[in-house]
Amino acid sequence: MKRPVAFALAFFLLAPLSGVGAEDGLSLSTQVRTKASLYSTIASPSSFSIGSAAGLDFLLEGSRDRTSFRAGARLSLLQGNEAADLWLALGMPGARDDYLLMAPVFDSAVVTPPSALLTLALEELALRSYAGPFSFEAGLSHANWGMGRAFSPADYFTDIDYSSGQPSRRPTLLGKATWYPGPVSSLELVLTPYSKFGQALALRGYTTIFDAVTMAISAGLREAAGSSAGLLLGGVELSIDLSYLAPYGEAVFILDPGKSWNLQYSIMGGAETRIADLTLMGEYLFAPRKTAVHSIYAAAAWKIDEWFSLTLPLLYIPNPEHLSFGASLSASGFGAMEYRAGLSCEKSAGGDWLLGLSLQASLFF
Amino acid sequence: MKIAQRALIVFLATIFSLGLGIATISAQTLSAEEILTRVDANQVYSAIYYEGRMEIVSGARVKVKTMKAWAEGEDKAFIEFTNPEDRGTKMLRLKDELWMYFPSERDTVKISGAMLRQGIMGSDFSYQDAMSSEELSELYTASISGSEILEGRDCHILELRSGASGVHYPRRKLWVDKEHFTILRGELYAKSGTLLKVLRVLGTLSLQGRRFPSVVEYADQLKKNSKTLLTMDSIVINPSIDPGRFSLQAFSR
Repeated sequence: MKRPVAFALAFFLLAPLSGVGAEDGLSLSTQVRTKASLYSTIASPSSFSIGSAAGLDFLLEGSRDRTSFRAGARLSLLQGNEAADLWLALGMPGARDDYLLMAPVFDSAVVTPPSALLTLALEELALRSYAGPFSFEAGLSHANWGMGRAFSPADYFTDIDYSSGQPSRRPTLLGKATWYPGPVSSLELVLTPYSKFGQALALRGYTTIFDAVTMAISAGLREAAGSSAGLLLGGVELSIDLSYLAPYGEAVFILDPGKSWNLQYSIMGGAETRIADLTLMGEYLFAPRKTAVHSIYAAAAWKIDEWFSLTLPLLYIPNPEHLSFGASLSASGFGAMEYRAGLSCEKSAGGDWLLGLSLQASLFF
Repeated sequence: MKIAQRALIVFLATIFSLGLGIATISAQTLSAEEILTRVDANQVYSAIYYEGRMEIVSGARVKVKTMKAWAEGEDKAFIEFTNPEDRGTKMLRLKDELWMYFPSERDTVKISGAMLRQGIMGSDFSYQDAMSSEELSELYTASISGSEILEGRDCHILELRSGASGVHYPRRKLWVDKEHFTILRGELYAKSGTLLKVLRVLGTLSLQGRRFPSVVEYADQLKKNSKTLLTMDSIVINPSIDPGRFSLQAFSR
């Protein structure tokens, strides 16, 4: 049984014992998603593929006194190129492997993707509690360390998913204890017992200085294959809040005492600015010991009016070459409906260009 | 019997008229600063909790957001959105700092400089509007520029000016109910004299001896056909609020 499944079962067995959800602080949010997509190669001869996705997202939240829980799951039925995309992604290094259910079950030996794929994934399953200035959390959740949105080396525990065009951090199994000595400062200890990056334990201090500077310092330990002593982690994060520009950055080092104190480091710098209804942001990651040494992410978001917005994301990695950019027009506020039309263009390491068009509708209730 | 009833009615009418007369004379003799102080006494609280409904109107389209809000003093406020699309989105204001929390990724973002001038969740209320809860009498120099009947209520018209830095609207024009000392209409201007926003108080509640504005409409004059109506329900003035509510800790509860 996979760990998330075992964890989910243990959680739901233990949660009633603590009385969570026993009173009226219980709510269920649901989102129904439908998507249709078309992909085409740009090179001649061009080929087309179509696909669709339908899904249901659940989020159950409950609270009692000083304890609360959140349980979120995503059920998806993928067809055509949507199923093929996921099937191929599952075969890549670092792919998500914590699905509660997948039919048919992924087999890396099967090269031809299935025409349809049913998946159920846990998105969040966390139990939280607080006592005075102390907060505690355990479960499948986010640590959310770091200042970066697209790249965040200071988040030692988390993967960032770029597949939707908008970077999003994947949840991970963790235990977290936080002390809030002031309203906007915290000292947080995070343990990830089952991470694909290796078991890790790290401490992070976070505070705001002079109202305009936000900074954090972190240090920790991570187990590593081939290293008897484990890795030492250290990081610094800084964000400066200027009137029209908000620069931010992270610097992280990883020391391996078992390998003559071999040093790896990563530096991320970014900035965000706003001109009228246009928001521009850009981030650059320099990771000299990683496969992708340089990575760039940029995005422009234009709020056309209160209902429509246009987002233009771009991700560029020179080596191994990957370039993707696109445009996404979103419409929200039509009752509980939200619509999105997306156009994407992607150049793979092989030099092939792929054009994608998608239409998506979501209903919240 | 009829004579007695008539006498009582005349007596009550006389008292009522006398009362009105006294009130009117009293209001007429109040200075602009005194009127503003009375307005503050109605609007300013040491702490408040309410459940709100925000209707954002743009032309024929309406977007509805619901929320729970807590505030304490001039510097602390916390809002949690409860409508399905934004459920769990939270805002924390501490003095001039504003933080937002997005539940889907458990992401905490500090709202910075230029962002503060934008509307909250697409509304006509800017983050700066949400962050301004100071007493008007402390920020502005007031003068009475006239009287006007507005929606059936006799109002003072006050001109407010401020030369202080950091005041979002250096000039305001307010229509203040002469009887209840509530603002019925306000025009908020930039330093250049450009009209930025018009606010209207469409409903008040009597709470703990004060007239509290419970239905407020804001219209951003720089947007076409746009207005936002905020209706506050379940208002509790001066509730006991856990101090942790006004810290980043409240985002993770």
